[in-house]
Amino acid sequence: MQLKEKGFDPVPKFTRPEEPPAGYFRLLFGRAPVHTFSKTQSNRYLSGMMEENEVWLNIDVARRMGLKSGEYVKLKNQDGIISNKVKVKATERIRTDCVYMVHGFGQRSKMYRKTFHKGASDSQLITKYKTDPIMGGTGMNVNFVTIELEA
Amino acid sequence: MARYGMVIDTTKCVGCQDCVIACQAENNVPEGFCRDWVTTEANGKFPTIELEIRTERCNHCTDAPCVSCCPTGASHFHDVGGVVLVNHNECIGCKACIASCPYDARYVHPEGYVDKCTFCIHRVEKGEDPACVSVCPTHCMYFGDFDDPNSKVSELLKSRRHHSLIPEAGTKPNIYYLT
Repeated sequence: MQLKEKGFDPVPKFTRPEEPPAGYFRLLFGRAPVHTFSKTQSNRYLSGMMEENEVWLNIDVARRMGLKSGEYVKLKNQDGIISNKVKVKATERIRTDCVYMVHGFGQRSKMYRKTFHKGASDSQLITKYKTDPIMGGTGMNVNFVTIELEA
Repeated sequence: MARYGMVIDTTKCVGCQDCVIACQAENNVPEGFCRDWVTTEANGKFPTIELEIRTERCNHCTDAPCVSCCPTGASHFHDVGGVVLVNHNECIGCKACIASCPYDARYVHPEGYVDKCTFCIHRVEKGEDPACVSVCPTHCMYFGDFDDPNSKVSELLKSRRHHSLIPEAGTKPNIYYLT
């Protein structure tokens, strides 16, 4: 009722998300239970268990691209931003058109002694976000990246 | 005679590795080594995959090859609960036990002796749970006596589907995983 008064559709219709262009993957991010947001990566004990993040890539896609788990790649987003080098994790646990990274790595401050420049930062690659037209929530899993082989 | 063991609910484990940290802190495990660890196993093909996250450690086998192969008797069964322990003063660091363990649960301590999970027997003898069990945020680990049919661990094995690791090695492991 309130939505209708403001001129919005009271029962919003599903809009299909954009498909990634050919060669691009949708960049997803999330948390690992070992680390808390981006604040514990430099902790001596926790850094020992998860030192850097990996970019999850579907195992069939990885095979097609000739990538193996543990190889370093860089990610380049649609705006030309290139990430720090990051390890590939070829896995069945992700769909073929997306890549996933754990948030909080790729720190650029030398003061984070244990984690400085380890892994790649997902937020560096999130140069675009979408806003829900009705409730204003921001969607940040809307960036597309290509995988650049490390020279 | 008690037979101590663990039952671990893999459907609750999130793989946070708090158990690993708790063990390292409780037992002064040197940096870079661990007595317990977390394994993630994914089977199947996307999107129908089965995921199992397990916290693994010494299985304190009833028929332990590490005890029978030890040339000095350093590797032994403890009087209480059949827990497999290493007497650091008798260990000569020959690593026969490491080679015989199907679970790869032992490591050489930088001071020269072999070290492994003790089920935190120093805590258990005081009536406490092992450190890993006591810190688990999802309460997915249970420690108890399998010889007592009324213990929590025995009841879990009676009521839930479970498996042990590498049972074909024939060592009668005492850690079970609920699925």
